[in-house]
Parts: sequence; C-alpha cells; structure tokens
Amino acid sequence: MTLIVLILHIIIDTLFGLYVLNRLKEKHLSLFVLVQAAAIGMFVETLFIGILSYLGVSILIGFISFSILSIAAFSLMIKQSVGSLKWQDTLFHGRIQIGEVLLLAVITEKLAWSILNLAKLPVFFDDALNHWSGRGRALLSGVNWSWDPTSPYFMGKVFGHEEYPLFLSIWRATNTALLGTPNGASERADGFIMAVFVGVTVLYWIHQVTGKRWLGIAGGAIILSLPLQAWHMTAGYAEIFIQAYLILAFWAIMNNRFVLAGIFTAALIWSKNEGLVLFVPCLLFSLGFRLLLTPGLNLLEKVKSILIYTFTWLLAISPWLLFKLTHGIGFTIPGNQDIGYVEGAFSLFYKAMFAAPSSGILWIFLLLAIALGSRQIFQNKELLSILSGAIIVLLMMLFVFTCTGAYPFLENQMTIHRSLLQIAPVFVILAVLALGQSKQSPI
Amino acid sequence: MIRCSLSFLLLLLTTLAVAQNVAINNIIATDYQTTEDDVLEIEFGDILPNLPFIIAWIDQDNKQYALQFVTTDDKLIVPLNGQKGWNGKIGLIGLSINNVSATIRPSQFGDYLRDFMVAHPMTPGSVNFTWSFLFLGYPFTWITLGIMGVFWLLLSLKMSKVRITFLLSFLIAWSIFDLRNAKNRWDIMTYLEGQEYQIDIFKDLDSLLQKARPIIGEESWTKEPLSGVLNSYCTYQLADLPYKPPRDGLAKEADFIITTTPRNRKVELQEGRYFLVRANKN
Repeated sequence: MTLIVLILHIIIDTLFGLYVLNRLKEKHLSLFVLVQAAAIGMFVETLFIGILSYLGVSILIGFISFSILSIAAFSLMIKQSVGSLKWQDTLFHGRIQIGEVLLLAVITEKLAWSILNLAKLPVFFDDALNHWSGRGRALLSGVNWSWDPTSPYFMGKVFGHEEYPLFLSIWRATNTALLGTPNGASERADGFIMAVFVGVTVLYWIHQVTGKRWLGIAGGAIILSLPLQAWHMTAGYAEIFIQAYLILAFWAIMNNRFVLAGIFTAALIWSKNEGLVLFVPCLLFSLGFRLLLTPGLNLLEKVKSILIYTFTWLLAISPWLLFKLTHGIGFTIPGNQDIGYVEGAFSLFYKAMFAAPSSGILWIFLLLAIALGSRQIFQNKELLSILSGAIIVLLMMLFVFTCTGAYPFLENQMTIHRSLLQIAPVFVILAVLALGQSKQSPI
Repeated sequence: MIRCSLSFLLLLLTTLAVAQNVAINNIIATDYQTTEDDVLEIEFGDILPNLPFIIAWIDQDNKQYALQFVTTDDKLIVPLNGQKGWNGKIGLIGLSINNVSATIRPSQFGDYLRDFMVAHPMTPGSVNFTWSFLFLGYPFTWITLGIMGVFWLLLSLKMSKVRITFLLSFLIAWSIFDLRNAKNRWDIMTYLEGQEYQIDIFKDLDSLLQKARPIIGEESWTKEPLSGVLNSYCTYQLADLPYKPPRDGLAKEADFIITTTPRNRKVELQEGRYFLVRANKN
C-alpha cells in the first residue's frame, strides 16, 4: 500500500511539473524531463498544501485539491500539445558497454540497499524524528501544532526548530494522510527519490555536455558511493533535497533556463535554511559570471536575465518568506552571533575535507581533477561559471564553519560532513566534465 | 579487586558509540600494563550471534572509554593499540556480556584483517559522519589513495590521456573504498535482520509507546528526560497525541508521564526500564 501511495503521490506531482515545463516551452519528454517535472511538482504541491493548511484546510483536502489542479493542468497541456509532445531521449541509444554495466552495478547496490532499508526500518535518526517527520506528524494531527506565534506549539516547535521550512514535513504528512498511518518508508522515501533525481541529473548533464554516457554514469556512481550518501538516502534528512535542487538550479542556469532555475532555487529555500543563506548567493554569482562571459549580450539583456531569475525565485517562495517575516521567524536558527576566526578551525576544516572517512579521497580527487582539467575549464564558459559558483559556496562554508557560531558543528562533526555532502555533486559534475570533455578526441 | 569491579559495574557509560547506560559485569583484567600490539580476543562459544555488547576500560586518570560491537558466530579480535585511552596502565577492562572467553594477547597479522572486516554500526540518533576502517593499522582512506596512485601510474604506461587515466584510476580506487563501505551497510542490515529489524535501544520504549497510545487516548502526556535519541523517538511516536512539553512549564498539566523513575506515582505500564505513570496533579 505504501508503494502505491508513493507512486500516486509522485505521479500527481509529475503531472503538474510537466504542465509547468510545457508552459516554459519544453517540447520533448525524456527521463530527465520527468525528473525535473517531479521536482517542480513536489515543491509546488507542498507549498500549496502549506498555504491551505495555514488557512485551516486539512492536509488531505489540500492534496485532493492539488490533485484536481494537477490533472486539470496536465489535461489542458495534452489538449494544447497534441502531436507536438514527443519522447526524445538520446541516453538510451547505443549498446551498453561492460564499463557501464560495472558502474551501474555500483549504483544498483545503493538503490537495493536503500529500498531494503526503507521497507524494513523505522525513522531512527534525530533530526528526522524531530524537525522533519516529527513536525510533519504534529502538523497532520493538528493537536501539537499552531500557526499562532504566541502558542508554545507554533510551527511544531516542541518537536523541532520553527525556523526550518516545511517541504519535507508536508510531503511526509501527505503520505500519512493518504495511508492512514505513517511508516518508515512513507516518512523517508523522499530522500531516496531525491537521490534518484541527483543521479539522473548528473548522468544527463554530463552526457549532454560530453556526449559520453559512461562518463555520466561514472558521475552518478561517484556521488552515490559517498559513504554518507546511502545513509542519507534513507535517513529522513534534508541533505539530499539540497543536492538535488542545487544541481538542478545550476543546470538550468547553464542552459539559459532562468525561470526554471528560479523555481529550483525556490525549492532549495523551501528545503532547508541554507538554501537562502548559502546557495542563493552562489547561484547568483554563478549566473552573473556566466552572463559576463557570454558574448553578444548587451548589458540590458544581462540585467534582464538576472532579474528574471531573481524575480522567479522570490515570487515562487514569497509565501514562505512573507510568513517568516510577518511571524517573527528567523532565517537561520538562533545561535552564537560572534564573528571571528576560531583558532585551529582551518586545520579541522582541512581534516574534514581531506582526511575523514565520511568523504574518503573524494575531495582530494576533486581538487586534483579541477587542477588537471583547468585548461578545459578556462576554455569553457559553462565550466568556468560552475567553478565560480562552486568556489563561492565553498568559501562561504569555510567562513561559516571557521569564523561564526557554527564552529562547534565543525568541531563535533555534527554538520560539516553533511554540508560537504550537499555540495559534492556540483564539484563532481565540474570535475568529470573537466576531465572528460574533449570533443576533438572522443574517449 | 572485587570492590573495583563493583564500582565499575555501576558506571554509566555515555560515549559517541554508546548512547545508553550499560553495566560492565565481565571483568577481563585489572591494573593492566598496555603494550604496542595488544589485541582483545573474544570467543563467544554458545552465545547467539548479532547481540550488541560493549568493551569498556578505564585509564589511569579514571577516564572511561567504550566500543560497541555485536557478537559473532566465531570469535572477535579487536586491536586495542591506537584506541583512545589505551596507553600506560589500564585500571580495568571489561565486557557487558558474560559467558565468553576473553583474553588480551599480542597481535598477529591476521588480526588486522579480521579487524578490517568487522562491522561498524551506525549509532541511532547520529548520521553525521562515518567511522574509519583501519587496514594494517592505517586509515583505509590513505590506502585507497595509494591504490589510486598505483593505478594512475600503471594506466599512464598504457594510455596517453592523462585526464582520463586519472579519472579511471580514481574510479578503481573509489570502487574498492565503496566495496568496504557497502559491506558494512549490508552487515548492519544482516545484523538488523537477526533482530527482526528492530533497533535495539528502541525496543522496550517502542513497546511501551504502542501500548500507551490507547491508554492516553485523548488525554495529555509528557515525558521526563530519557537518554539521548530516545527523547526524540518518544515525542515522534506520540506526536499526534496532546503533548505537554517540559520546557514551557506545561508538563505539570499532563495526565500521563513517560519516565524511567516512577517514584510514588501510579504505574499504568512498564516495559523494561520505561514506565507510563499517571501524573499526581494534586
């Protein structure tokens, strides 16, 4: 039953996402387009239900309303696009090679383990119990939840931080509303779904740029093999959401899909607080850099592109930001506000990146790969733009962990490895493209 | 020695690896002078595999250290050299499991291979980092870096494309690194399968919460501090029943209390060390 509910839930979201993509002039269907559609649909659905819930509508009625909306929008899209919507997926062309089979085996192992984990185990990690699933349960039942800032139950804060956005909590509460009772799979499967989005996005993006399918599969295998990745695919945390929406936003920017990039950025903000605080600046910088390097665009066109992107994410996430502003909710969780370098912090950050089992040799490889492929990067404006954004986010992370009240989370390793996990896919894409891109001499 | 053992029996261990109170009642050695190649060999005999247990010791400054393992159907060898607090004179070392044969002896080559293959459990509550595997006493991360270097050299002799050979050599080393992590994940699942997929530390509390649900009904509940992640598990499981949180002073309004210390209150339920008691509101 849980599987049926999850599939139904994803289908409803995907139908709405396909409508949005169609409005944004997407004329072809592919596995990657379906992933984008599902990612858009999950974001819009949860925000929609969140707004209705604030207005006093139950989660179940909210989902039924969204389902009607989604099916109607999809039907309209089909009616308007008869004959013009075609399945076009070059990824599946050509015989599969032995190397690809081996890499797919690596990926399959992670998926199989995660499915078994989801099917058999309950939620058992702290943040999932509190912030994400705990608040979801409270929101659904309503007894330990209030939208009134003066209530001790405001935003489910007796279970988790009131500052945390509600994407995961609402998606899980909706599963429970459909199922009747929650279970380990219905409250954690979203991380697995997001990991599939990450794998497919990496695969398509690398294949799109290099034309080499094995490189795309290799990129996906590298990310899914990170020691913490499989755990987080099933832990019920938000880190894999960040991974997915961050690389989708980067991809959209690099492909001049600025409205789409804005939607994915809004979803990033709706997933976790760092979406706004850390990743919006890095995506904006990356976009600015890309436009700067694009020949033939005048200043007006460049400003217009930035405004379209900024206006889209601001508009898409405005209900949440307005709610925060009008209800006195901070944009980060309260903590030590002191700024200043903490003695020994660089050394700890270095160890976390390069000498910790949670990342293994990944970051050593990534930095060497970027150095080895630096010529390719500097000859390609897309790679250079990704690099600029990636460096900005890494520097911001370095600053946050070494010079702010977040230092204890570096010292006790509570969040540093999870933060590195969030940005790893961007660097993996950059590294694989830098190493594998060579159209003159196919591999 | 008996007094020493008893005092250790009452110690409450709380470490990164052990998030609950554990009694160490099988003393292996006292006043032990450590060496650079100590290993602990445990033979489990007739004890069922996959039962969790603790190895704990106290150093000369009276600091406590603990490692968590599960029983095997054969024997377990744990290198002690390099473990935190394992140097100088050890006041006492013991186990939380009885009826096993345990000895400290000098290490042999095979011990390191055994240690490399031992499962490293993920502690409920924390999914913030993974543990390091040691191979011949070295972190496996560095071993994989060496493997990558060797393959890059070998592939460079065969292929001229520097960047692709670099990527291929990383993929080989990364796959080996991944194999060890994958084995660990599957080992943990096999262990949990033996436990019918129940997380050890939640068992009693879970049972209590399921039975408490109809008793609490539409009345309210609160909890007194439990240990670590059990607090979160408790609030999560009963998140849909009226909760009176302690931090806002609302706890005194609650009809029921989940606690480990029932005191003079009416016990409605007990599972292991957990109780559901009715609050004395007057």
